[in-house]
Amino acid sequence: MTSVLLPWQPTSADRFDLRKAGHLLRRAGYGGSLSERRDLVRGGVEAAVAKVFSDGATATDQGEQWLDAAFAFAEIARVREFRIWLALSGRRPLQQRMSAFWHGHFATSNKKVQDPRAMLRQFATFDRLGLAAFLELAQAMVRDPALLRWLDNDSNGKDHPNENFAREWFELFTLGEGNYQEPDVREAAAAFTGYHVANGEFVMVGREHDRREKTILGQRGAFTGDDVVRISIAEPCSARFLATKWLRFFVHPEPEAAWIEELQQCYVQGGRNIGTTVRTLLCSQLFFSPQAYRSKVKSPAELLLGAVRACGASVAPKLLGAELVNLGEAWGEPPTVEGFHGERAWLSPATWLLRSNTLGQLFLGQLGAFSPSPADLLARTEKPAARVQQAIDLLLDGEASPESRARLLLFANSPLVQGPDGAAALLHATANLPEFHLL
Amino acid sequence: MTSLGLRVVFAVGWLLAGVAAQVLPRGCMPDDVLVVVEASDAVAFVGDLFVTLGAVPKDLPETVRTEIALGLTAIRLGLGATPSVLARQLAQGGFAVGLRFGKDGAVEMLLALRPGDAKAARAFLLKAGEALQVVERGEWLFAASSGAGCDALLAQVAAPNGRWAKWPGAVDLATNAVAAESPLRAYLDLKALRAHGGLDQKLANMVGAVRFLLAPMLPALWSAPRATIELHAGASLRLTMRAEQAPVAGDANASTPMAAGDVAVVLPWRELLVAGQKERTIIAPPDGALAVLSLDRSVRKLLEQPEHFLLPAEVTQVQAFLAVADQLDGPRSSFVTDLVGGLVAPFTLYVLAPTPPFLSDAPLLLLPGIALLARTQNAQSERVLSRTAQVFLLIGNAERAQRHEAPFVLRKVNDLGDGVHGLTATLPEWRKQTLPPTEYGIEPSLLFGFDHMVLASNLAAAQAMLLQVKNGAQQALSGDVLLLHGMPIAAAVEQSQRPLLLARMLDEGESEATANRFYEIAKGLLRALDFLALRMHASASHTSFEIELRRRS
Repeated sequence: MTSVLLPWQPTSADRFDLRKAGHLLRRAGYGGSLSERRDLVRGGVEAAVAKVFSDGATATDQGEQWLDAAFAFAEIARVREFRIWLALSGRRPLQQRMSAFWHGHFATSNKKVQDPRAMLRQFATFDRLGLAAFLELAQAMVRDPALLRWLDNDSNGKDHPNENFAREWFELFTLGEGNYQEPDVREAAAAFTGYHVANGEFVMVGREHDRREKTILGQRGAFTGDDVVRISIAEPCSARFLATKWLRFFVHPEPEAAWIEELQQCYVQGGRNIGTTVRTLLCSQLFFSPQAYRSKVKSPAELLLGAVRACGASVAPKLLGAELVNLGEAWGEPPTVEGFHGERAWLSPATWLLRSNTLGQLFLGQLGAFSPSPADLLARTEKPAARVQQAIDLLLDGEASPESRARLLLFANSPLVQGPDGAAALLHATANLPEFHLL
Repeated sequence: MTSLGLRVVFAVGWLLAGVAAQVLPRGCMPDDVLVVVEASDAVAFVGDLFVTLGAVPKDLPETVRTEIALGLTAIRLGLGATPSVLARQLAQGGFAVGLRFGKDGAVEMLLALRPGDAKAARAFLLKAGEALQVVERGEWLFAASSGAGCDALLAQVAAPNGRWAKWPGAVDLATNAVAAESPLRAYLDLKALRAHGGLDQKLANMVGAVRFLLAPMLPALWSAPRATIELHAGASLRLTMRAEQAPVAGDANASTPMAAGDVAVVLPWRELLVAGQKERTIIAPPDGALAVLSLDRSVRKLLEQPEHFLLPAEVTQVQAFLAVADQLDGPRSSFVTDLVGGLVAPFTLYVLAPTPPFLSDAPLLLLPGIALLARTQNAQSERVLSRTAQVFLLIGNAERAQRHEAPFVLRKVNDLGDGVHGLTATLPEWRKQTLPPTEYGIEPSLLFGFDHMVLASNLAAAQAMLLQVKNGAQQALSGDVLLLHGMPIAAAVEQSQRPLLLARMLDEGESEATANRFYEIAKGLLRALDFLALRMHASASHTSFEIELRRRS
């Protein structure tokens, strides 16, 4: 293994501190409270990574445990709330994070699927297989009713082939643009014929399946859709495609070519296992490098859920779900097949104002009770400087630039922070700092 | 004149008047008070109240029972006496509490007590509110949050012919005579409260659906000068509000179109009442029913004359609806005349215990059966209803098909005996490993029998209601009634608790333990409740609204 993916080792000059614990929890979950961060620091970096992976977790998976109850509600808003609830619980942080990644990767929208239960089951598949071998996940996805309907494969028959699913399979899910030819798409579409949905379930309709021999990505045979999966993910460009996406998601929006090369090799050498690859990445020198720290723009979910988790608070998922929609991250309803256009697309003069206002509402309890209240969170002291430090500890891993700190202190001394909503105002001001909007 | 000087003058006046013993507690209240709460015998009322409320429900979680016990002990320690002893000390001879608005809009409370133990009562009041001003006069103890409040009370007692002394009691709607006074009652100056709270404007802007629901109450809310609220404790706890409405110019029979802000916007709604103050019978719900709602309204009249009852924008909405509804059965019939008119109003809505589907396992969230029952006018109405139901199902199935969902399969029902027949629609059998979704608890059903029609969310509910018709199970009532039965509701919650728990966690952000505790408490309280009834009743000159709560014996 080459340099950037070597495990990061703390030294006396570069410790595993609250800053790094916060970084790990934000990237491999939706953040964590000050006490969670302190716990991670006490346990050391290896234990911290094991914790986000939920290694050895014995408690029942909440998502599995409550899936039947969630299934009773046939509304996409409820699905979204359920997912927010799981993310906020923080019990399996990386599982939820990976599910969000795969939701952006295999982006499926209920606006077309019109079956919230199918969306719920797709998320459950991400929870179950999001860190498994990619082959396993990919095979589940070609049988996923929501994805098949979203990309019209339920009308892909041998006499009337529909290439939509096959095209996106190559372009968005496995190989990336430019790594396949039009004949590959046509032949793969034929291989996927008969992969249909009936009454909300996957069915293989034999009479609709095109059984003739096909040539796909240079290989010839009477291939089925499962063969397309196997062939496509074995392509070297597939490893590169996925490695790039993981680096963008976990490390930096513009990964360097050398990093991609290394992670790609790591993925292939690890048997194309997602969990193994992500574990290597999260333990790496690259992940804990200054280049990675606060290098990404927070999505609305990372912003809002992150604020709640950073404060160790609880908030009703219902109103948070509605706010995610307002801020442009409607889980279960991504805008296109390419998913959410993240990073800088999250920020514009309009969205900045909206993000700020929503954070204000959150701390003021206008999105449902914020418990413990900001006043309780900052209750230890009345001194403005100490309150500012508390707010920075909670929301910014204890770090803020001298300019930001000075501005916050000025604000903390103003009459605005003296009233009953003063603590909420101070948290709001802290969350308004650019640092907080970076992941 | 100083406050002290005033008090001396009032004290002299008091002695001269010598009428203290005859003064009703509410007679002590100055004229600018808008609400008075009065009890003539606080001790008896507290006793009745405890008998009615009974013991802490045994089905409440043990932790909650413990908390209540601790809370009651803390209250008793805080009060310094048991509630009965305290009632005797404070107001053995009755009390009145008056509320009035200051110039800044703040509410001021005035208190007049005829204590059993003046010394203890005074000590209690001074302990209860540090800012409270307390004055003793003869057998009376007056308290207010300001010296001016006490002065006003003293002035009123010195000249005890204020408006509250002459304020009439409530009228019993059944006998039209003055009702016997309940132990605890409140008198409301509705006219002043309306002006103060901007109620006029709120009523004028009320949407049609709410006005339809509150039809019997609207004239009283709009024009009644006063209302009386009484709390009766005994076999059940009853809170009754009775209001008399003054006749208003341009009343009921006006046929002019409505406009926002018109008095007429409110008044003609009483024309929708079918039975009015007359008693009527409805089919009694079967055992285990969760709820019954019977509104004395004519939907037909509303749809026939929308411009008489609704605002112009609402009239347009009704006309748009009717333009579609009239086509459901083609040009052969009219929605209003033949379909709605084919049923004898008023209709009654029943909520029955959930029934698992016949063909499949029960969904995790099992919906209760909802049934609308009405007497049919003739065979023509049956044909129109059947055809319309089929069209509605067709529309529903078309929408389901767009969502790739299996359709409801319609079948005729002729084999239920006694000539009961109709239509029912079911989803295909659920053959998967998982539990069926919630919609599998729904079987839209339209049955006819014994000159009645029942439209229900499942076949079992429809059959149960027609069986009640066949058995002649009837129940007399008047006005509007909503009846909720505690035990069956608790059982329905129990049956579907897991999805309800999740919904609460998502809606309120509660932990599983907190949400679970919420439902355990709710079920414990519901199991202790025989019924909760809400009743609205209107006569020509009065309106009453009643909430009755009865514990299970």
